[in-house]
Amino acid sequence: MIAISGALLVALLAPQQADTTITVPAGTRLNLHTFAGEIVVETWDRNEFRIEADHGPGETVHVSRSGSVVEVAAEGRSRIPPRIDYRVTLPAATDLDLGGVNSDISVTGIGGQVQATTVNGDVRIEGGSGVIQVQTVQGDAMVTGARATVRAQSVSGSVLLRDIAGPVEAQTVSGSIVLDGIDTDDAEASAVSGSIFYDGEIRPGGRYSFVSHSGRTTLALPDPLDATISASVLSGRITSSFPEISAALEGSRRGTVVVGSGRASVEAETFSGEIRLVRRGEVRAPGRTNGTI
Amino acid sequence: MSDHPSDTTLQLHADGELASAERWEVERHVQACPACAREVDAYRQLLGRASELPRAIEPTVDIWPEIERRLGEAAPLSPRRGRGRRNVWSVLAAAAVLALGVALGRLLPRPVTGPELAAPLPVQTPSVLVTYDEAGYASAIAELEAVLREVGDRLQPETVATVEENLAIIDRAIDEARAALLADPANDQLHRQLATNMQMKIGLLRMITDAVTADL
Repeated sequence: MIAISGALLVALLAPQQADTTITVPAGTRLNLHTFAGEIVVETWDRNEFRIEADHGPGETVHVSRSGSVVEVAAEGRSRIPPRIDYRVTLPAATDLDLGGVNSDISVTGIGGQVQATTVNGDVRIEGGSGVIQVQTVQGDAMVTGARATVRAQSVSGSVLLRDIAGPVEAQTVSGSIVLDGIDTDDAEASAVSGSIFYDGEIRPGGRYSFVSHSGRTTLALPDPLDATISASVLSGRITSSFPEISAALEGSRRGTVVVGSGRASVEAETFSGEIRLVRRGEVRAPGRTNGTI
Repeated sequence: MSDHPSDTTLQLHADGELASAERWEVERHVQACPACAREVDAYRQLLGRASELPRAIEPTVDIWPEIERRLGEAAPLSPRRGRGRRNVWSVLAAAAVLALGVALGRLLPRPVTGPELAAPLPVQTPSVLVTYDEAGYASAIAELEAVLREVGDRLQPETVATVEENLAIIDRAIDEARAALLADPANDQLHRQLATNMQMKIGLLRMITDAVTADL
């Protein structure tokens, strides 16, 4: 174990594996960016950060603390960025800033703010109660079981937000967006060619917005419904299993219909895709059952 | 050094878009952090300038071909490194996104709401187009693409292919929306579609360049 104090920089020079544990005051943040390799973050009930790293010979992992931030970085002997697998254990209340290029990122049980970005890889966040922001280019962005504000983006992969209580925002270009088991008064999703699926609560006063250019948008809404539904398509079509919505919107390009007292706002727009408004349970999200979107 | 709110969070805070809990948290930080306070002030000034943009322009010429030409000629970045470089394009991207957000989210007619709005939209002069910050958008795209060219060799070939494929998807969507707007310039849905796709392109480029340059 290597002790670290103040802004001291500590280098771990073990040839194959580094393992250091440092005591940190409450509120300490972790910054960890790597070029390649897996990042796994878990929690424990100690005021300590434990950082384990598997790396190649001659590669060095630096752990430094400056004020309320612990920074983890690595360097190799050549110009080729090292591939390092990290396993980090820390207090649940920690804020995280994680990044990678060719990296999978997995975080479990963090209650602080989480920012996790990778280019080529998946990001998985389980649990959490702060603000969670995840991004990936070529991979899936998944957040499950969180009571948090969640913003998730994938370029070509799927965005899966499941069992979330709190505001959600999701974006993809060609992947699919699945918002399943959502309890919020603020949901927003946008896709270009990808599909959008929403299954969740529609709260009075809430705002729900879904925009797709050419993908299919499926909204599984509670029945009875209390919302003002606005839907518009340019060259696509609108269908619904709610009789009042079907009567008002099917066969038209755009329109608004008030269901119940209309206290929530639900907006769906597409250029050339399809908008389907169904009851919850009629269509299930992938992974829940064998249903399809 | 990132115990500061992200650029996105500061932008949302400046625009008053944060939820109350996060807003107060960010506000406390901003009050104690001169650097972030300056960022927020800069965003707010930008928002103020953007709100003064003309609400409409006559579509005298199609400037998009010229923008495309300039994108193709985008000069490489000066040899700045790492975070400093990121700040440059972050500001450009933020400027473009904010200008778009203001121009298209606020100046455009709001989505049709209420029971009476199943009626046709108010007729607008067909020749009137809502303005876009095309120059800001083009600058942001050019800067981000230049950064990507510099650091693209750090990406795997299949990732580069995925990025190019998805940028092409966005470009096609932008082109389709632009073409549709020529026929229906007052269609607020088309403007939102166009704005969403333009923002998505900036966001995609920004995400990649941010990730790739983070550990330089």
